[in-house]
Amino acid sequence: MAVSWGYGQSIDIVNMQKDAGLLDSFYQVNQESYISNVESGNTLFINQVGLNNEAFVNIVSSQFYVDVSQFGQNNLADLSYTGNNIQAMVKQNGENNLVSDYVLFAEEGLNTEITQNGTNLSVFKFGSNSITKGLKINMTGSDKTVVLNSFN
Amino acid sequence: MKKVILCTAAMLFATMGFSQNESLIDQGKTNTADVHQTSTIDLYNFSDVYQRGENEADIDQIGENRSIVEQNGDNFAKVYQDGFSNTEFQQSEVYQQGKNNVANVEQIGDGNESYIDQDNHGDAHTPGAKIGNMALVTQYDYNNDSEIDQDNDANYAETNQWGNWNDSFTEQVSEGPADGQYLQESYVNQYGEANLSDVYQEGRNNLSTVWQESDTWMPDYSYTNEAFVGQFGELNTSFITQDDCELVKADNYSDVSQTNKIGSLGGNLSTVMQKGANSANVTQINGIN
Repeated sequence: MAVSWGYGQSIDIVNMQKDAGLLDSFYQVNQESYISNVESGNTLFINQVGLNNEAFVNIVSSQFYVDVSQFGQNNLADLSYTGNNIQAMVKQNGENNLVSDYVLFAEEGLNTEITQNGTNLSVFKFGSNSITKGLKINMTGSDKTVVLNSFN
Repeated sequence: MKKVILCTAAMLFATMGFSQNESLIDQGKTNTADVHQTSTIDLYNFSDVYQRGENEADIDQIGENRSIVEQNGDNFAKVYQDGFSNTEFQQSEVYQQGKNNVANVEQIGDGNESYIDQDNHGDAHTPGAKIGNMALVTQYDYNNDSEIDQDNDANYAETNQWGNWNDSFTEQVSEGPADGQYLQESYVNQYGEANLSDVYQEGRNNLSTVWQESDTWMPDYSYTNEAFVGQFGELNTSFITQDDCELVKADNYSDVSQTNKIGSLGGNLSTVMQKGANSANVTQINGIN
């Protein structure tokens, strides 16, 4: 099969971002996603900088990696997924952060890491056990709220 | 080799009461058509080229312009349209059936419309074939509208829009025995106010890149930058970058839907980068037939 993966355009975009002096985090995320081929399963990077950041993620897969980074005010990350071998990372910096992480079905290999820095922090998590294996939550700031219901 | 050169600058045809320059060309076998038209304000240029065989069409229009190119065989088309002082209306349609389809459209004016339809019938895999479908659209100034439809394998589409109210629609479908031997590539770059991009890819080895950069908030639009990407097949890759100058009012919206129908042979990769007031909605499904 004569498949060739050309990412010339992506290189151009990275260079344009550097020339425009955009945030380093943009560049880093793009570099992370700059892989030689698409892995089996799903891979997702979302990077948002500004106000009223919303990220809605819906994934069905036997293997996936999700990385959501939000910087600013009123950050919302809503993750919903079904499958195994899950690695999810959510980072929020700013005011009024909220993460909703809903796992419908996961038998093995679930690793979720949530990091929040700022004020009025909230985390809601539903589904999957035992007991929410591999879950890490780091919250720094005031007015914290954590709600976990990991059924079974 | 049959060659037709028409230079009808400023000729007052006006036979239909509204077009100043009108050119109709019908060619077979090995063909080259060069059409150059210049009109004055209030009247417009019209060119219609139909070619069968080994084809090359070069359309150059200045004024208020409309061009239709239809090619069957081994095809190359270049269309350049320039409006008076960026205030006129441009319209281009290119239809290509065969192999080595190349269409290059450049428009400058207020109200640019480009439509490109290409189908290589899987001939990208035959000996001697150099390319499947390649479409390049470049538009400047206001109200840019581009639509590219490509069928069968080895599709390449690139749309560059500079100005305000940019709309880009790209559809690439790879199917049948030619499915997925080559990369399906779509690149959309939009610079200005109120950018909209919609990319749909079906087949294997899909790659989409959308870059949107706006400098002024548009109060009449719900989102300054809007990007929709739908990919269905294997090995789906999507990059979206949206950049807005205002952090308070400006809005970015991205919607990515990726479905890997096979599952075991490859998956989905999506990257969304946004700066402004941002909303991203991503759905990835793996292994669903």
